[in-house]
Amino acid sequence: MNYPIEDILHQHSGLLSRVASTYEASESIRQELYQEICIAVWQGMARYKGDASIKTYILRIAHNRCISHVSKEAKIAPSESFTEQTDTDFNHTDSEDDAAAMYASNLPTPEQTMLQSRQLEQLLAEIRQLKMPQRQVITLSLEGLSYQEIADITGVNSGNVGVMITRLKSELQRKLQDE
Amino acid sequence: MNNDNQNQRDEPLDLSSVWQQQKPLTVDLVDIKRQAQQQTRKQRLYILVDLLSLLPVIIFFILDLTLTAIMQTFLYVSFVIAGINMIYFLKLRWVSAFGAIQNTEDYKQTLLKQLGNNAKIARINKHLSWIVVVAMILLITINNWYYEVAIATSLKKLSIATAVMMLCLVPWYIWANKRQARFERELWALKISLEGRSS
Repeated sequence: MNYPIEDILHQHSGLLSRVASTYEASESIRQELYQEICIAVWQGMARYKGDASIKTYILRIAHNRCISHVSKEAKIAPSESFTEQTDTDFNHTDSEDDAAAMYASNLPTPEQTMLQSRQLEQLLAEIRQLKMPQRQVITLSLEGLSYQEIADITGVNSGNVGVMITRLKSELQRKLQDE
Repeated sequence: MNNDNQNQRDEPLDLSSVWQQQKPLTVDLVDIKRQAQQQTRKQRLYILVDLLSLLPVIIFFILDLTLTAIMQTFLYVSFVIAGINMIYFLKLRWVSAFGAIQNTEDYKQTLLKQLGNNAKIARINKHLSWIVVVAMILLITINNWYYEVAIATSLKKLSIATAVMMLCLVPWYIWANKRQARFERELWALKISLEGRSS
């Protein structure tokens, strides 16, 4: 069966980008890693038998590719902190327009945007310090996967997945909120 | 303002929404398709090259050259070692190119084993390079002594054979040494990563 691989890659670009950022702090190497993940997914789809969801399947490929990457990047390039942030695009409008004013009031303030950026940077830094199995479990959880799906991808027992996630989330929340 | 900050600290942080803020990376899908197809072609080519690597030795058998017993024995032993080497790497390439996608835990264990084995094989290949030179010198010397070849002729053949072998095997030694270092480094890096370290 032929799968529209371009559509799959396009649809899951955010997901696969986030997998790359889990393993690589350097922006330039992260881009290369993302490219390698896409190539691996392209090749992997030829072997897809439909025994798992496409999302689960490509996540397995992506994480496996990253595991190989980790071993190959042993030269330890100087790690850059993750500073790539989302663009903030404020559209302050005439305050006499209620709809526009409400829209503007729902936009994050510069302080909130800075806080969110810092939180993201911190979250990534903390995740990258975790042991690999924990890193995989927590990031898959943050992607909204079920315990069983996470167990299928990582090979960790689904019961242990739940315990791990609860503990890791609690630790991460504490660390981020203490800063 | 202070109350807002306090409220933020009291409410558990929604990690998923922080996580999802990341901006997606972009790639040229046309280029990805081209590279994926190129890699598949390369994998198939490497498999073919692995299969053909035994051809020089097979040709010796087909040509049915009149070789001394010692030389024949050496040829058979080379064929067996090369054959085992070929089967191992063929299996690795086949699994990598066409095998089922494993879960990450199984993949990690497979990769650890492979890196360990590849480092061992590279170390064996490295030492085989000088062992072959020494063995060939001994074989030729014994062969020439057994068949009473004149010393001058024997020395001439030995010098030529040694020069040719050094030409081939010194680069082989250097290459195998680099491969051993590389696989040991990758194995170390993977083990460290599994134990968790600062990125």
